[in-house]
Amino acid sequence: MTQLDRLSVYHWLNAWCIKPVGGALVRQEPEYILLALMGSPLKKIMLCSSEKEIFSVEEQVMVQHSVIINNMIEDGSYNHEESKIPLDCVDSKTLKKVIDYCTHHTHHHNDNQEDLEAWDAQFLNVDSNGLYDLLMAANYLEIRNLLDLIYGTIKNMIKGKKIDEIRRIFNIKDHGFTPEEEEQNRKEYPHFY
Amino acid sequence: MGASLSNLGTNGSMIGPGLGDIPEGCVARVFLHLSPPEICNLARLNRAFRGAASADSVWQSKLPSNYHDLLDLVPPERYKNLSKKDIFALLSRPVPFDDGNKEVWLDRVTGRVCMAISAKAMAITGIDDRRYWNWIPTEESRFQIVAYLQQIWWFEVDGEVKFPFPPDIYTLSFRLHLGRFSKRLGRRVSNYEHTHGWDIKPVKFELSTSDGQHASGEFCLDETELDDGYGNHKRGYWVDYKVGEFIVSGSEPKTEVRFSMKQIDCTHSKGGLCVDSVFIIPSDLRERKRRGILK
Repeated sequence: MTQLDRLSVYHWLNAWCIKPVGGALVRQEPEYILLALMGSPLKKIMLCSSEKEIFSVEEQVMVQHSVIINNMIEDGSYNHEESKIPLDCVDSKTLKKVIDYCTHHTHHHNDNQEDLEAWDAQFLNVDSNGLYDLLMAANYLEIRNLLDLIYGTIKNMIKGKKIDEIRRIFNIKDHGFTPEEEEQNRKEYPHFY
Repeated sequence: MGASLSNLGTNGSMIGPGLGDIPEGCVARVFLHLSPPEICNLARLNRAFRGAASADSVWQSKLPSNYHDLLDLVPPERYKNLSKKDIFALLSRPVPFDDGNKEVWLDRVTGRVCMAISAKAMAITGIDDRRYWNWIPTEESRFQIVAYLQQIWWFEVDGEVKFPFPPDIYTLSFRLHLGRFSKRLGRRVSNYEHTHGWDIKPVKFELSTSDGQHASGEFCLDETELDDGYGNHKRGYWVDYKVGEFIVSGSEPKTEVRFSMKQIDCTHSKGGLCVDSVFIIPSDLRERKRRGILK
């Protein structure tokens, strides 16, 4: 098995007239198969959760999805030989899920829309605290498509529902308003109805 | 997970932060996909939602791209220093222009531009002759006045408007009422003493735009008396006669629309009709309102 470093991979791809895009290797199905056949392991990076657990994940998977990680790789602040990327605000359970999402969408991006949407729906079948954790992680890592997916889910959770019901779903025990502020709220918005 | 004790979240739950702790910026992103009435309802949920419900970024997305053109119709002191939310509120109430004979407003749910044009802004043949036409003040018109036709042979009403409509597909319609109406002892009563001639030949409705679009339709405004005892279905209430649609693509800053209704066959006279106004409403908005889906 040959260990290919990044530069060799670029030369090899160029020889086959395949262009890398934007500093990341854009996964094209045939090239992925060829690389696998050549026996070169794809470049991995290490992510470290708030609980100090290390997750190894394909570099191109995270680079494709997370703007933050892409920037770190691009500007050279990440050293493959030694470093891990510390993600102090993401716990292990959430980080694993985020990695699952990015990996699935990288490997299955040619699937038809219905299958992807079904997978996404299953992926987001979590309780409201889990959804919050995913939202914070996706926000921190700037994963656009996961964010859009979560925003859409939250929108569907609240659309058309009464305030009391939403407070129950979101488990909001204390809305934080004083009685005077509550009264002002009621007065402030009637003209929209 | 769950091996460590979590702090009490600000939402008071025992199991750590949840959706009640979503920061204001994230709530604002969710609000981009919700309608203004929904946003205002959700402002009462908690502080983050309340803050996001006032965010300029949210309301900027609800305003039409050319909302500055609408603001030009309003005295500057009324809108300077207003937040985008307040600008939306301001423009979602009818904004009069052209001496108060036209009004424009944003639909509260979709933020799309709607317009009404009073009969006062139209050129009506014979309007100055009181044998033919009279102006009747009434609450049933948003302009507080309608034109009542007693009787005429040459029935022609023309109008036009030049306005920076945002890109959309619009439907233009005439709002008409057969017979005149009044309140008697608290009840609304219609009077058809002058109503005649509309069942003989149809009225021709037309519209055209400065970029070459046309639409037209013909309608008989009245029904010949039937013996089935069910009465006349066209009398006694306001009817919106759809003339047609026109598309605004946005390639021109302003769109000019001309519209008319005519029945100029002078072999018969016609009369007993109220002309209130013309409406220009985005087509699918009009369709949803007619089907009762939007409030």
